[in-house]
Amino acid sequence: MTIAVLRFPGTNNELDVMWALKDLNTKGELIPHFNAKILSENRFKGVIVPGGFSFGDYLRPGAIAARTDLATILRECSESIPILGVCNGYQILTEMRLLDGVLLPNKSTKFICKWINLRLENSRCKFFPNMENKVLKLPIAHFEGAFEVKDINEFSVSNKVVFRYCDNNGNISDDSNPNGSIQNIAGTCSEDGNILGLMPHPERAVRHVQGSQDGKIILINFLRYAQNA
Amino acid sequence: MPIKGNLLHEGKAKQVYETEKPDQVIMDFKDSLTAGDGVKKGSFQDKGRYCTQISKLLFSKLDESGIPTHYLSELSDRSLLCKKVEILPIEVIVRNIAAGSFCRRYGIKEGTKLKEPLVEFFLKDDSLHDPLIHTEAILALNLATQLELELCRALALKCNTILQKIFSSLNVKLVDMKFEFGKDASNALILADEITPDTMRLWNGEDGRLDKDLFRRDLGGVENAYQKVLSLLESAEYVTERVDPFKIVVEVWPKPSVRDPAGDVTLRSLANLGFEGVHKVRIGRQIHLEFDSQVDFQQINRMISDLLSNELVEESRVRIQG
Repeated sequence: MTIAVLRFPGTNNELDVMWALKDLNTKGELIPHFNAKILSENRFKGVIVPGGFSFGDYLRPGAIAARTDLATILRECSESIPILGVCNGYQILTEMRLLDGVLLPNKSTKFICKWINLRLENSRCKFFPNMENKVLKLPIAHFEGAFEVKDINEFSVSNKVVFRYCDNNGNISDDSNPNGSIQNIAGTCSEDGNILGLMPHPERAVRHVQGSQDGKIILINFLRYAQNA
Repeated sequence: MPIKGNLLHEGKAKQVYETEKPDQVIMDFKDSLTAGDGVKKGSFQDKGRYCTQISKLLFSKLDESGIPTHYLSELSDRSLLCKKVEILPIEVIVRNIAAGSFCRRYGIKEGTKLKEPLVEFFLKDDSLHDPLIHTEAILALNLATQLELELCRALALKCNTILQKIFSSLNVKLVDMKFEFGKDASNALILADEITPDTMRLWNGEDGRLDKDLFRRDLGGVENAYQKVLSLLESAEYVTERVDPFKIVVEVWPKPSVRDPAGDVTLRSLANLGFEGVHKVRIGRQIHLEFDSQVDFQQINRMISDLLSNELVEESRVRIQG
């Protein structure tokens, strides 16, 4: 099984992702934006859109990457294979409207780089069957991570919320909300549950030495679904 | 050859006919000459021909320079095929030198050079004697939108620049001129009507008028003047220059319901500096677009919704800078 790992100018997490995939005995293949047609070769079981600062975050984070040829092919792929967007990858997926909402600047106006806890919600995301309420420890590193959506009431009952920021015990509160995200939302999925985006970085929590291995749980479940889908 | 259909409109100097195509009209120039809202009437032979040829020539030059006009082709020496437009009920005047009603209104000596070209709007209504109209009144009466007005102004000033270059190369001063704009089938605002010595003041040397003022003021020599303008234009060797780019500004800012942390910290910083009284700061951005020629606002709106603004959290506005 090969997973496509996209690289736009300014993407800087792609090697972390490749490293994590290697740890999980999965082959990753880097696809640069200038060679987008590789992605249409139909030999990938899933796509990861890594974090970074694609196109220098010009205009809005992810806005330019979302209008590239590579994004056009990614959109076609989204109908057949699962997609995972991390951090700037999540922002790209929202800019492509593959995922609802938008990631706005953090309430604090600061770039936040720290460990947070994340609770898995009961969602329509297909990667995490029967895992709700599981709490994971992952790092975040972003300036624009405050999720906002057109109609939060409608959205919160749509089962598209996959992760919320929480405390050690899985409680959701303002204190456990690092960036001002509405209803502590940290990750969301598409209508068909095939596309997931999240601000925290699972690829940076794979080995013990990194401080947490909970990222593995997210990646393993994504890869398992990709393998069997 | 287009087929001349029903008479759509007859003005003081022109007749406009339908054609077999819904988006095209035939414009025939008459030999009549009027002044004072049609009170004073006259005519001379070939006036229609001179005006047709002068309009054709100047519309072509403006077209080549990137100004969108209604002129399509010449059908005969006194008939032009044009795009059908819905005319805005506004006359746009550009003045370089004080003359006519401007002098009476402000008590200025005729011939006074204005510091920079002045754009004035007049309501197109003979029964009211085409009064000067304030832009606020145009908006309040819904005669045009803000954007259309800004575009009228920008187009009129660009036309003035191009026409001024043409006439100055012929040693003729372009004193002032009247433009009319209309919306074509695709809703684009384009230059319409005519460009002739009926609609421009042209001074040749110190007191050599080459325009309708000769008729208005009974100075005589009208026919020679119109003929001279045409022969000057026909003999001239001038190069077409591209018009300055159209500068469009797209302003994008966060919706009122959206938190704007950058605005919030700026507000606090203002307070730290001792500036009082500001209770809110919102920060957006300006995107400056430059276009070589005709501005397509539907396209700009698509640019905004497809890329320039995230309409989920941002509002936007288009302005024409020039």
